[in-house]
Amino acid sequence: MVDTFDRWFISFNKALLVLLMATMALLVFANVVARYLFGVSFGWAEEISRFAMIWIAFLGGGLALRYGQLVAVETLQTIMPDRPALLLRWASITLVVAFLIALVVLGLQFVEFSWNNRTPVLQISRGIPYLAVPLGAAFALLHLALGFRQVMRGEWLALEDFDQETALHPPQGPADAG
Amino acid sequence: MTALLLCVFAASLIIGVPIAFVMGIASLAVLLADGSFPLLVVPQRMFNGLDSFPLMAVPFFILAADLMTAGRITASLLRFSQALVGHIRGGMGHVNVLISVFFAGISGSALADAAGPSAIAMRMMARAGYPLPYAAALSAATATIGPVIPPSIIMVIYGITEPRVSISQMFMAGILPGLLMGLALAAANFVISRRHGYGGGVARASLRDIAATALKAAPAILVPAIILGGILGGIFTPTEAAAVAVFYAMLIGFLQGTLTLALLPQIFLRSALLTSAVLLIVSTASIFAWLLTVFQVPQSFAEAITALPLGQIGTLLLLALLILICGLFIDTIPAVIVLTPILAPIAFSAGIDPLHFAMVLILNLTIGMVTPPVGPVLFVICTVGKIRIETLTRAILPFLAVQITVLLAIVLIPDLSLTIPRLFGYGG
Repeated sequence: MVDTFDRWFISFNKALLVLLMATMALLVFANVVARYLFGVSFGWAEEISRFAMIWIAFLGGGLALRYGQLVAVETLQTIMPDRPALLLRWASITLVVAFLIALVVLGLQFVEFSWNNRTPVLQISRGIPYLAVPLGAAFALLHLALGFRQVMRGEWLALEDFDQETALHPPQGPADAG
Repeated sequence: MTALLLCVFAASLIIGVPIAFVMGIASLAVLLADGSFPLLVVPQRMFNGLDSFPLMAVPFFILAADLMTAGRITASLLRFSQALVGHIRGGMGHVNVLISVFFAGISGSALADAAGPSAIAMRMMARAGYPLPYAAALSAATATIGPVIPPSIIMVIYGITEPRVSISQMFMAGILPGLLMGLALAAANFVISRRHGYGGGVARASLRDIAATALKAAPAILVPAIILGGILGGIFTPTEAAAVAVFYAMLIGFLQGTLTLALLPQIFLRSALLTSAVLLIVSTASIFAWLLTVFQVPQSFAEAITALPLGQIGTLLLLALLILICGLFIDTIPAVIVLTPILAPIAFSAGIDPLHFAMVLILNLTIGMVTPPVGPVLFVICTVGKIRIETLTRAILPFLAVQITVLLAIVLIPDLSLTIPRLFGYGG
């Protein structure tokens, strides 16, 4: 049950990121082309792409954590014996969870606080882009809960590798035989 | 309060909290203890820290490099490098340097270089009989050329933090220092290889081979020309240039048949995750940097340093030393966001050219990426090369000495940074 939901949640989060990334790239590129060819550019495209980038940053955080992409200094954890190292890991995860909970609460307050302001171009509520903060923190909390055991063990999800090396048979023979 | 900020920062960093959260946690702790600011500044600063169109160059440069890599561009660049310099003493080492220089023109990040071309060059060196620690050390050192030669993620972030210099000016300024770094590392490789007898007796590639490999590598080598040419020609901004590079990379990949539509979602995902990791650091670093300004750290720091009778070069040397020390402990991107507002004003009041200072800071911090305890490039190379960090740290010392010599040259000779920007009208 939990595993099924976890798999679904990971795929959903992935799809969201891919979609946001593609939107952002397309809009900015289209804007360059439109300006160069037709002398027009669209303010709304700039605003949406900016918001898309911010949404990628916040909504990708939890997933990046599970893929082991968030850099941490693990020197102390690795040189310590198992028990104290585990303690450190608990301490560090507790701090992260506390910060994320604070971000959900403060982020929601911030959304509420600015709900009646409008964005400059699109004229939508400012609260909508700001939702990225609490939503992203909530996503990260959910990822931490679902992948808690793996995160504690430092086991990360693996990205598909487009292994360049398999395609890259280094030239045989004279080239650098020494 | 500043002391508390730094203590929580150091403590959570040491116990292994991801750097993206470290600065957020420290800032939140201080805001709670201080009590004089509404806590809403946390989400507000975190959001505003990212709410910038120029910053969008970061995800695009990441995506362009990922697309190029997935399109197997690295392989053709490697073959071309091998044809060009493979026959010189220490040949595979020179290939390692040259591939990093080429890749630096496509990617803006040392980590991308370390995990990609540098890692491959390292394995090829090991197979060709170079000792693994030597190969790994050279790969780590050359990876730091990535963010010095444009495009560069660090330069984009510096440009957002410090309005006195533009991203395009920095792109110009980075070319010469980056090439100089490559040349210096190649020279070191030559000397060491000759002494230890590494990699000799390789036949020179024929002109036909060079031409053939050059043709294959040409699309990749053209990327920096498109980016820089477009920016300088006033055709597009750095962000737009990066977006154009994304579509150029896709076009090349599809034309060469190395990229398929089915691959795109994976590549986009990979880039999105890295983007998130980088931007979250930018986001929390902006609250942290804001708190430092609120506590007047830049002012007190500036007063302390300007009180010293140092003169222009003395000040720059002292600043460079400070950055080098900070670079040992702080990762590159947070270091740019946190240090720039503190140190740049000191440099300007001492009459140092803003662009020159930017280059000193950036080169300095990239060297920090290959020094322990916080040396992300070292970590990557250790992981992919399956080599112990202590071994790698020892092996990299000679290259580190070379890098610091180059840094010193950049500090002492402003023209190295300023000549190319001046050619394009920079009036510094």
